[in-house]
Amino acid sequence: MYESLTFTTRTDDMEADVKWACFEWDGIYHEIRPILDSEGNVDNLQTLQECKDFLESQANDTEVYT
Amino acid sequence: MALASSGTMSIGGSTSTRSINLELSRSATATSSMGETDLRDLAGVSSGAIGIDDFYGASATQNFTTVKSGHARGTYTGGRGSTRYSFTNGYNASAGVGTTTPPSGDLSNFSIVVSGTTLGLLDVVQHRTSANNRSRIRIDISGTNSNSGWTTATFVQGADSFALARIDCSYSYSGGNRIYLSPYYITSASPNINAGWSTGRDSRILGPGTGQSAGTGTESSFTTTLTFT
Repeated sequence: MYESLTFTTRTDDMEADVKWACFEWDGIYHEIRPILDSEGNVDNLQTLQECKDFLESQANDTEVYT
Repeated sequence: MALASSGTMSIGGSTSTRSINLELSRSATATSSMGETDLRDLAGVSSGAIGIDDFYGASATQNFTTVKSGHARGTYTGGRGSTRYSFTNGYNASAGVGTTTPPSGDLSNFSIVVSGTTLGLLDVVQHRTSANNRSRIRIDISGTNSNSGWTTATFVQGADSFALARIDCSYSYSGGNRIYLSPYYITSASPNINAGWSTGRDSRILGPGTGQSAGTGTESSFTTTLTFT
């Protein structure tokens, strides 16, 4: 599941040293903090997995997010 | 700087603690009306009659919301058939694991205003503990898709307080609703937000001021102050 998921990154509007991983799934937009490597760059592979894990945790939660 | 708590107060004027215009970062002589959204937000009067007395003590630099918490408990089956407990506390909170009745609660002010800018209406303020004693906070704000506008949400109830940074939360947006979810905290490691199941109240920031939040219900009075900065 989530094979087609992709994400983009952006810098926070208020805190210039904070980055976000942005993605959309099932019509819901999400932002989570990306995984950074030792040089402070976004680790694309690990961040993509983090995005998938986030969606999975939401799916397993009984809360309604809409 | 907050407006004065008593005495002379006016929409215009050049005295910083007595001029509503200056509090809203407008010019001292700007034309403003008490019925405007920004003034109502500042006064904390969302509708109906509004008077100059409503502005006593108001501050545009920080918006204070007081929360009358609703609370609900639930049980569910855990590993090896064990009985596990969960609870939700807060305003307009969603039902947690095993809880069938979402707690409702109440707010004294639905709008969030930070530095004079209205972010939107506060739709949900929730503290929830579920499986494995994991606890987290959820804040919903209506409005456009924008993960910005505030830095910290600080909860204070009596001697207990908890500061939640926006950048520590995940952000989701759907249907005009901005949803902020804190990381999961292990309740035993988060004494500022949770006192545990067996002693004291379960949510130290959104639970009842005294006793435990057993069963379902709503607090009799506003007890938690939530400040966005």
